[in-house]
Amino acid sequence: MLFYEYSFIFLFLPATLTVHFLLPASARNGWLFLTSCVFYSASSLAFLPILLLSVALDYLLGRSIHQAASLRARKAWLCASVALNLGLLGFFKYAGLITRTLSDLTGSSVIPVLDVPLPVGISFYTFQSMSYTIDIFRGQASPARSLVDFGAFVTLFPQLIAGPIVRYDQMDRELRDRRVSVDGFAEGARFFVLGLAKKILLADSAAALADPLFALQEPGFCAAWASVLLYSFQIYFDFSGYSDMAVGLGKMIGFEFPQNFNSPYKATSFSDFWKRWHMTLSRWLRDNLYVPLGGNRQGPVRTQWNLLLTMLLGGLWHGASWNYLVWGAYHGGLLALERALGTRNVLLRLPCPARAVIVFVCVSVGWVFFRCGDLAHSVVWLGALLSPGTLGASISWNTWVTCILLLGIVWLMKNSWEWKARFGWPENALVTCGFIASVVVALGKGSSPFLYFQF
Amino acid sequence: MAPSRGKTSFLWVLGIAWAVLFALSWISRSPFFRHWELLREGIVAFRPLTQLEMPACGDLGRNSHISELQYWRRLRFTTDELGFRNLEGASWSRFVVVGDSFVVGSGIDDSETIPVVLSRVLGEPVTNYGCVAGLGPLAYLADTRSRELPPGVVVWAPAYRVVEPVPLGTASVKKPCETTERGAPSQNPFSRWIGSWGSVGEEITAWKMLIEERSTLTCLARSMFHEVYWWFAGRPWEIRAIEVDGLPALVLTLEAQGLSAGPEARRLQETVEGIEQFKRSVSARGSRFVFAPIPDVGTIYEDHYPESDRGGLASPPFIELVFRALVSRGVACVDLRPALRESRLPYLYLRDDTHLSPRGAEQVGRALAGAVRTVLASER
Repeated sequence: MLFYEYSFIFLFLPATLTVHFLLPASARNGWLFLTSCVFYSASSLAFLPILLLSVALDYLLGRSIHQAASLRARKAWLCASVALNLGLLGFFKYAGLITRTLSDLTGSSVIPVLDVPLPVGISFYTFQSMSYTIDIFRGQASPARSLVDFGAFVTLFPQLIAGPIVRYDQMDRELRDRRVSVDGFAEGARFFVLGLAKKILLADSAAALADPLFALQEPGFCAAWASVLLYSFQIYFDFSGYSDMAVGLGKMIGFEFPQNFNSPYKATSFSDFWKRWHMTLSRWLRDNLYVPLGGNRQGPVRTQWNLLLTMLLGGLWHGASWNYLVWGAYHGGLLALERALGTRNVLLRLPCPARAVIVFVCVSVGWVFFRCGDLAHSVVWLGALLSPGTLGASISWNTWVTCILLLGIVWLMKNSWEWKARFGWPENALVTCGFIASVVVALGKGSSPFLYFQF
Repeated sequence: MAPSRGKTSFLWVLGIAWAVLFALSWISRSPFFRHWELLREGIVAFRPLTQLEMPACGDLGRNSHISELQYWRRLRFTTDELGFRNLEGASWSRFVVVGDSFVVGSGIDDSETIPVVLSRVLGEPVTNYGCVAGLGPLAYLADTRSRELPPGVVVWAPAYRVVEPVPLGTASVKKPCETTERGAPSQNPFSRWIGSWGSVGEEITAWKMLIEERSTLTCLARSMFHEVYWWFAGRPWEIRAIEVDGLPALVLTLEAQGLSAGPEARRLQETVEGIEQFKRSVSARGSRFVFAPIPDVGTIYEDHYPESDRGGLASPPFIELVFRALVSRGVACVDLRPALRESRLPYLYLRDDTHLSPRGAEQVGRALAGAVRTVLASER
């Protein structure tokens, strides 16, 4: 079930909200746990037991860590939790890639290629679940009151499938006691509608123009650039739209989820970009990977290595493919280079808009690895991007107009979080029209699934 | 603190919009497009023991959103107890045609499919084993009946663009065994349990689609969307209109039919080995095997495409290479191109669809009947 589908907007959501508000506060977490399982089942019923198993084991391991008398025992329980979560993630996500690569390398059929179907949202819920036990180990969070509370935290339907990745201590208070005001509900509804419009009206429009371009056998210079720009907009509006919907749904039931995107294409450096793009994942990787590796405390060379390794693993988190690994290395390399140059970085001498353009172009080029199915295809695309001599097929006017419009939106307009809560008639009418248009377009065309569902 | 007036009025306005859209969605109309094709059972076949009768237009007509090129017709779609498109008495017989949507008979009536034509010509039942895309061999080999009651002749008739490496393993599909072995439940409790959960999911999906597809809201949305979106984004890039016999016909580009890809891109070696392996498995169970791929429109009406499209055609055609390799390995092949080219006017495909028209299916069925008779004669 996807947030823009009829069954979600007209059936699941109203039913869930109605019962949620009718129930006493003590029963609401249980209701959310139950409905989140139903929500998950509609997408991935066969994998629900794995989700529930992960929830139950991490809940028990969290308690064990908290109750353990010695540091050694706490470490052992933490290792068990990390092994469980990474084991699940590793098996379902990477077993296919590893066995295929080994099989290709050995050139024999001795090693069977495991083609394991990927449970929806596993990358997100394992990270979220793992952060709970890590936070308890560090003393930054206390154990959940009950399995139901913890179950509601991990499986909460607004963020179950594609984040934002929320730390337990951020939600602990709301799980114990939360209130929803009319104002909060209205803000949530508006966040949801804005996210819906971003996904359906902007991201899917960009996709409709980008997909035929990416299907070209021999892209020219213009087609390659147009496709890369459009895909940059598609992935941003798609994922930030999903995040806005998640934040909005959270507000509607009394949870405050963290911001996941902060106008990333306005970033003026690569480190700035990663503070604005998929912020909850960046924070997770920083707190649980980069800092434990030593962060920037062990000299410049080690810092750059840590950055590269963190981004490599961050890339691999997105999917079991060499493309994601290269994409991670590309961003890790850019971050390491930026840090190594320090004040000698020529970018710093340029005015902010020029820096934003350069960062945007570099980030867009990186998306080639995301969009192209394999490395060979990516290389063809990168070649076309760097071959101004071969203009290739002409690009229709609406492609360029769309690029300019979307560029204007990402560079000149405020994002959903900056758009302060003005609820005058013009804003209300605009958002309502956005809702109607999004529903009509989603039903009329049938939208593509959220891009981040595949991760 | 009292709620702000602006936010309260926003909720009212949004709520009214929601209620209007919701009310529209519950006014039911005929299902849109070919509803039965959405009622999949697992990934192989359709919902068992179902009979639907409804108006339908072609897939290209639907996807191109050109109402003038949508030819609506009333069709019946009936499935047997395993979800294959068979009328009573034909769910398992001496002749089995394994294939994809061409064999299923997408866009044509129960009485017009290739296996039905073949059955009429041969004078005995023929089983339609049309599955999703290239999964026919996988499903067939997983079907216990192919071992216990091997048919006399198995015809593997994929569309040209589905001639690709045949998946014969079991790891890459979810539930072919459950679908095909329903008569003999699995002894493994875990797989039975997964299967029953999976079927609940199928029910939910089917129910969800039913509501979405039948609603007035969806129909209105699609009409509005047609006007606005296609003006903006253009028609789907892979659909062309050509003229055959003085009338327009919607077709896929030659590229989308896989006709411009060479042997490497289409993995000739693996394709041939996969078909040969399927043939060996079928023969080992005691059935005769015939490979009879069904040409796509681009192969039969190539000359009706614009010159610019034809420039990229692979030469020699991929199917030619497949035939050569298979014949040299002793696999019986039927080349349907001569028969279809000879009778190509009036048009053999549906004008708003990628699939064969009743006349096209008739021609293919007759050609296959000839091939089957030859196989049977050689057996004697």
